[in-house]
Amino acid sequence: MSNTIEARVVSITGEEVYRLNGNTRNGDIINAIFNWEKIGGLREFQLDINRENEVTLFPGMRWEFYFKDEIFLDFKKIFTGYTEIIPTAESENPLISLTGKGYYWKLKEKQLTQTFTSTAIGTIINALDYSGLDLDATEFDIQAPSVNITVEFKNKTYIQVLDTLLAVANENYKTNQYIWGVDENRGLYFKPLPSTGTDVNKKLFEGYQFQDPEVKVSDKIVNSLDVFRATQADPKATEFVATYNDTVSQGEYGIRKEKVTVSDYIDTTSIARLANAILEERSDPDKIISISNFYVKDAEIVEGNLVFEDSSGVNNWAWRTSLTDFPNAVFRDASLSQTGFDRILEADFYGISTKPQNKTLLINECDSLDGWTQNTPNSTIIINDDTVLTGRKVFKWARAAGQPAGDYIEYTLLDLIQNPLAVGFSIYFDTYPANITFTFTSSFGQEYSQTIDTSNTGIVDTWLTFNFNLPRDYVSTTLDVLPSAGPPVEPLEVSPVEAGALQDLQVEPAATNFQDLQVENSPGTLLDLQVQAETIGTPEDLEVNYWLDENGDAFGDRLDNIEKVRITLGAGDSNANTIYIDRIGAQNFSWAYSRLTLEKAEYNVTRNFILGNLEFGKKRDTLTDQIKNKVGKGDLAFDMYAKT
Amino acid sequence: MIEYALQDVDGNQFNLNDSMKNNPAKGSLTFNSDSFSYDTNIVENTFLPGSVKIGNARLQNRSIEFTLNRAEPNSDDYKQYVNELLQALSTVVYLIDVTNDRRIKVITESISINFDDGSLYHSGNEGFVLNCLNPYWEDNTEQTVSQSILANDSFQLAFNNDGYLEIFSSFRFTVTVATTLVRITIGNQTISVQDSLFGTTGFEVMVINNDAGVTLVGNLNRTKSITEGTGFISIPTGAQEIELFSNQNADVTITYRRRYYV
Repeated sequence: MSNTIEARVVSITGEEVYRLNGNTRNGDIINAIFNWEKIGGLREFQLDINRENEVTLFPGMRWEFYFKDEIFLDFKKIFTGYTEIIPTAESENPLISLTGKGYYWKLKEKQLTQTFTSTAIGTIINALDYSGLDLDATEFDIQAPSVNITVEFKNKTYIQVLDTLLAVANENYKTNQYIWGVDENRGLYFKPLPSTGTDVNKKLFEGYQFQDPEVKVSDKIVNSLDVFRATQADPKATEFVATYNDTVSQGEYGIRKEKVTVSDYIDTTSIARLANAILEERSDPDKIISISNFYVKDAEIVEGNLVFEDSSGVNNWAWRTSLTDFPNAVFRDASLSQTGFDRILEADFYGISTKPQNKTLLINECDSLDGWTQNTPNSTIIINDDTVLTGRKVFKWARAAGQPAGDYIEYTLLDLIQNPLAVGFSIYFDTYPANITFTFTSSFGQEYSQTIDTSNTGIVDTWLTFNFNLPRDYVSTTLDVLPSAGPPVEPLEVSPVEAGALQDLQVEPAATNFQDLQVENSPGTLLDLQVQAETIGTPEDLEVNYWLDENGDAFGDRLDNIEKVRITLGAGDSNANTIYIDRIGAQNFSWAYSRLTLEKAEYNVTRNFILGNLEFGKKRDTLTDQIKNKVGKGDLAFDMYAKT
Repeated sequence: MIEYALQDVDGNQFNLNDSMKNNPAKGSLTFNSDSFSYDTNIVENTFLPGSVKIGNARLQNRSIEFTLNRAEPNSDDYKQYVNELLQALSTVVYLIDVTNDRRIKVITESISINFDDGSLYHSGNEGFVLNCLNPYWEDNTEQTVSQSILANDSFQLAFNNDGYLEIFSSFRFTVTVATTLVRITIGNQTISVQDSLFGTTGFEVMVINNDAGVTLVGNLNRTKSITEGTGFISIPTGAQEIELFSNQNADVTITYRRRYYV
């Protein structure tokens, strides 16, 4: 990509003072680095420009950066920042290195001391006085949740105010995450991330869109918060509000407690929202994926629906053509989303897939009955820790003697396990053996079952871990079948594609256009099939396909994925049964997929291309370090920064 | 005698073989060397003798070295030849094996010209080293295989990859009605695409390009419709069963280039 960047110096009244080009011929701009964060937008930029150009440098310059792409033949504004300090003119360095800031930092120049009583978050944001900050109010995009807050701000910068409001707005952090910042048009935004549910902005695959990622999992879990706040009477004093807990996380990881001090007085309901936001964000381990040298490409354009627009933006007509037909025209794909990767990635969720590997995946740890449906009229099942193999708890399933078969529990996975290779589970029979069946079902209705019954072996009072390879080998053969109403024909012997496949076929008289077939898998074991032909008297190909299990025996369906697991008790005998069940899992060969937010990006713009160093998922030190780095003392402080 | 050419991004070819020598025919072009390197992670065994390999060995980039031995009646002609050769080397994208219809992706690493004694821009040895960005040759002409499949009926396509490395092919599905699920399975590998646009008017074609790592539906990049946990796949060498699935009737075309070490 050449002609990547253009920088325009603009006066405070919007007059263009100068234009610098990254054009490889003129070489005004040598390099540029932009640091962006999910909260805030552009934070800093660095610019190396040729000293011999005639740009006039002055304090408080507004810099607008445009990236140009060769496809749309257009410049698009990507970042806007400002410089405060101008380098000295006396240097002999042929390059001038400028550093500047994003307009996010303008919000640190003003402070607020004001009390809001039961006021909507959006109302508070719009009520702030932004004069003198060089923001463009016409570009503001405030989409705050409909939440009221009572808060007393005392000498807080606007950044601190917005961070506090954001903390309350993110009550439902997992399902509806908000951000705030200043965009390229100097407009303040406070809005939810675009992708919801499981949706993502883009999916990126290792080996294709990026190489050699750094993947970390942070175990800085917080699932219990002791929250303090400044008092209404004396902002320098603090009072205890409440303790907030995520019991599901505590059940899994134990109690991980932190103390939080909110340096403003905030109403208790809002405190609860803020605490919930922290717990939703921090109660599970965080995954962080760092990608270096991400190649930011031009938007793609391929043959398809293209639209001509006149100067007023009205579509004249659309047709299917190729770009080579009109190489000098300007195309706007007005009706469809822009294809390919944009110049930079916006704040949103992204699907990151790292290279496929053999993996062991957890279906259920059996630490909780949440998510399990139960049909156990003749038995009881509870969570227990009498004897635990993995995790903290197990299922304990008990019944009296002589109970009938059929009691079951069933679990539906939140995320399908694609293309499973094996399944496994652990069972403990207490004193007496029992008959229990595990059935794994795909979203296509395919089933795989294994029944465990240690009556013959007498193995009890010990954990048994089972692992079964799922059917993988496939056998296929094709026959000509001529449907007819004629007499039965002699059995057909078919040469198998694989050893141990079909043995014999018997063809029986057909009514209308049905043909009955029997497949003898093993001597004496017949499988009935019925084939319907389109037209009587017209030969039809019959393709017989089936799977072989690990012993080479015909099995039936292969599982394309695992959607559900059902555990069913067989008929009881004269003994009461107690069965413990732990950790149900599967193995597959798959891409490891993570849905993460883009937290930080550093874009390095050279003359020919743009490379990004991206961070997905939030890096965490302790909560204390996190806040220490982020804001000054007296804000949403944790632990050692609590006021006493 | 294998004939080679340098090909640029527009498909223009610069033939390397010449008539400077008659034995062997077609010239002075000499394939000097072809070197390979592997990325391996080998660690010493902690207490047993020997060492162990961690992970898979990966063929890294490789270098190919050629020399030519040109002579021209005068310096103007020789300079013209060198200009044309250097221009071709500066814009080369593929080295083409014209005889066997193969290509390899390259970038010029270095060029040297050694003039014959007593000659200045009149005759000399022109040597150049090409860095092979993909360390394998591939068919210059794309191969295709087509198959029609029925809705909700997995089709096992017998496919023989008689090259020497795995293939990263393109699968093109063409449908006539809205089709919400497409899946390809080869051995342990699966890619599944669930896209709400596919099959609607103007979006009847889906291309899953396992080489470029992109899925197109019509003219849109719909890579984000790839089902979580699945991703781009390759076709191993030898006889394979490619399982094709669509929840509507579809015509499937597989486009591929076989790969070779030499």
